[in-house]
Amino acid sequence: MTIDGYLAGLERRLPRTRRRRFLAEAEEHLRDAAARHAAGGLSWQAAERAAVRDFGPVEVVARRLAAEAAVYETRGAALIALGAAALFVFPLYVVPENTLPPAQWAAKPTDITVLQVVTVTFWLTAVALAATSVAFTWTRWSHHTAHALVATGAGVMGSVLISAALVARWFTAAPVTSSWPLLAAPAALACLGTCVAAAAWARHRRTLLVR
Amino acid sequence: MRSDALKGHVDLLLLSVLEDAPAHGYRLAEALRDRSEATFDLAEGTLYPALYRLERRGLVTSRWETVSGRRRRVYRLTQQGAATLRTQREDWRAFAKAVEAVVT
Repeated sequence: MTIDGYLAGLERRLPRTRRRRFLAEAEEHLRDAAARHAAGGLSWQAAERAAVRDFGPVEVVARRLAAEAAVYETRGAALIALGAAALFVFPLYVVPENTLPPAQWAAKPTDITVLQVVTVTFWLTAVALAATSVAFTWTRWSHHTAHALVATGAGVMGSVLISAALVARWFTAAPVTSSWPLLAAPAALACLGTCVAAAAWARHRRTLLVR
Repeated sequence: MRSDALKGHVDLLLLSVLEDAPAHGYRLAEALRDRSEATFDLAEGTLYPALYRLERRGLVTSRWETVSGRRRRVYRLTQQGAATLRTQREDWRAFAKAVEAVVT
């Protein structure tokens, strides 16, 4: 196989992440290797074949690179999940007093206080899980990113549900004005982040888990 | 030596070569071949995913440079990489000493 043929085969199999950089590095490498073989007495065609053989089977090289690219892509997904979770914590941390309708009660009902504590705890847990997912991608345990992303997704979805319960209870107790945009925007972003993380996990779970 | 026998040691090998001087991918493959006296049967293309992994973990950095009139991606050991290399080298020596004591 010629160097050009080999590179074309690689290009077809490589993931988009790092494809251009890797192809450029691979081409330089193969031409250097072919030059060395040619200097050793081989014809240029034989030298190219030898360089390609030394570089390794296309499938093997592409599979290794796909595994590495998957970590980069899931890092991006984990960062989005982290941003989404952190974004939702901000309005809920000072909440609901600052984002929900002004309460008319003299003393806040106990169940609402409990829901507030549970909600904030859920969101902080989701943030911690998302941060853990991101951190895994910088370590030798990057193959655990897929597991951490699943936990993050579950944490964010659980947080959305408990937040919805809190908001519903609050509106029942103090049905005055609403601050829907303040609550809906971060909730939508949180759901979007969860979907992105879930999609990344679904796409790369096999690659990441078999490493 | 089969490449699967090297599994888990490629990082140590690459960091060791980079400790001497920054190098591009082909130079690294050459150094591994020369220093091991062609003992390792390693697909050279698989060195790049290993280098990307080291870069992701902050153990090496890389950038495009012009070397001998050609554009190359040159890899360098970071301080964190040097520290990791010291640890891995100590672990390897202890491991090799223990295996040697058993098999001889």
